Amino acid sequence: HRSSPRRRRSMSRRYDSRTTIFSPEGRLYQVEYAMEAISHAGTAVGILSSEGVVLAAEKKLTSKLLEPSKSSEKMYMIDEHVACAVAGITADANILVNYARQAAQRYQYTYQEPMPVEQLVQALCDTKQGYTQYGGLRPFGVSVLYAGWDKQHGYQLYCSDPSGNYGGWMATSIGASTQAAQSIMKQDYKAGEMTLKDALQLAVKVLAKTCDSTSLTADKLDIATVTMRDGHVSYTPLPEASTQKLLDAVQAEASTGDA
Amino acid sequence: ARPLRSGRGAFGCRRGAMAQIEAVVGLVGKDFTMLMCDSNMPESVLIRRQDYDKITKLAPHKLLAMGGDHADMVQFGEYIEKNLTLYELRNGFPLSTHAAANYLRGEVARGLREGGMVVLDFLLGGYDEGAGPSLYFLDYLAALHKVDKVAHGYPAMFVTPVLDREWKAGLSEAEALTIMDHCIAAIQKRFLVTMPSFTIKVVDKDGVRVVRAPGA
Repeated sequence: HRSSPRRRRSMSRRYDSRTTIFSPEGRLYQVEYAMEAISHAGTAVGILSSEGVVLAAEKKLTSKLLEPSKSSEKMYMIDEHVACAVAGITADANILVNYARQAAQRYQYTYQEPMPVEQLVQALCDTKQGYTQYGGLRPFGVSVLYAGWDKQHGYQLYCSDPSGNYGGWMATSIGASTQAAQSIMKQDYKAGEMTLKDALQLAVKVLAKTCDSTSLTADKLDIATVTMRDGHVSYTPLPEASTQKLLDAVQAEASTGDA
Repeated sequence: ARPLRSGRGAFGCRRGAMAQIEAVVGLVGKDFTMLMCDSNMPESVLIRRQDYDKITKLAPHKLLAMGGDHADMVQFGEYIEKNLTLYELRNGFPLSTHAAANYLRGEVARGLREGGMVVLDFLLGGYDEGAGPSLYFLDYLAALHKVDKVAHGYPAMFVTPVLDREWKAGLSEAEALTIMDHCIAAIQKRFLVTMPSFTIKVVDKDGVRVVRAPGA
């Protein structure tokens, strides 16, 4: 960029290309640009209930010619007790998911116990933070929703962004239209009273209202739950038939009148 | 650098003759775990002192009884203790006894592979809410087992029959102490090395407690 004939005018532009330095206003532009990239990705929501955690995401179908793949580009199992939904650059997400899976197995190998969910989140976030401070590499263009269960804190939902910050949530969203999603969830989420069924319903309702196209179809949705099954935690992706039923219920409720 | 004093044990590793001489005994009671060690600190054929405490408090609800190289006892014992504290500070809750035992095993195994082996036999006793009291056997070759009653070293030859015959589930502290006294009697009667005093400690829901002080 040094030998470019064109001169950059605005002051802040000079600080764009280096990820590892602050701008004069005290901002990390690369991190912000990463978040901008994510705001164009398919929405993903996470909702905590007393019976488990729900993750739901809208898949961006870029072409009819694409082979429908078995694996999702939005939802991943990290370990038996933790799953995540991602929004952003898929290639970046793959790296992070792989790292998370390794971290979880490393912990299990050392302690012969599943890795506590928050520690997994922290491990990933510490990695993400590294890319904002040294190495001169760009940050990961991915936000992640983590859903899991451990014996210390039960069901948990966390959200992390390219800066490496994370928070624990009852309900949150990443990707496109998060503002709209958050306002619907703020209205409809009843802390302490949500059952798994409520959470699934709310997740589908939020996605139906915030998605691009007027008609959300079941094949565009990826839904999974982290709940107890036969006494142990398991990650269960919902079959398309169940997703369709939820969608029908939401659309029926919408047509009979809004809340 | 390998130390000069001891010969090579199995696997050609640095295994002191003294490691097998120390008495390390443990058993699980109704709602506590009891650990016992002899209080001798030997140095070749000399007894350096007879009031040495070989049972470390690793955490508020974890005890580690060790037999073997005394330098390793201090250094490795503290290393584990500090790492357990670090975990609790970082994460807001302590490791369970099961997790701590496996972590401990991993560190001993690492020493075996990377040089700097830890010449110690361990008994880890802990108390966890929910799981209750537990006892883990770990030897210097990193073999880990969860057990109800066990002993390390030559004294184990005399103590194991006593434990087998007298241990039962749900022991009270008094009953457990009686069994330990029978173990001591067996050692003092039949074992070549004189062991005049033993340290006994207990871990339960209230933490760690000294039942018989070293040198008592």
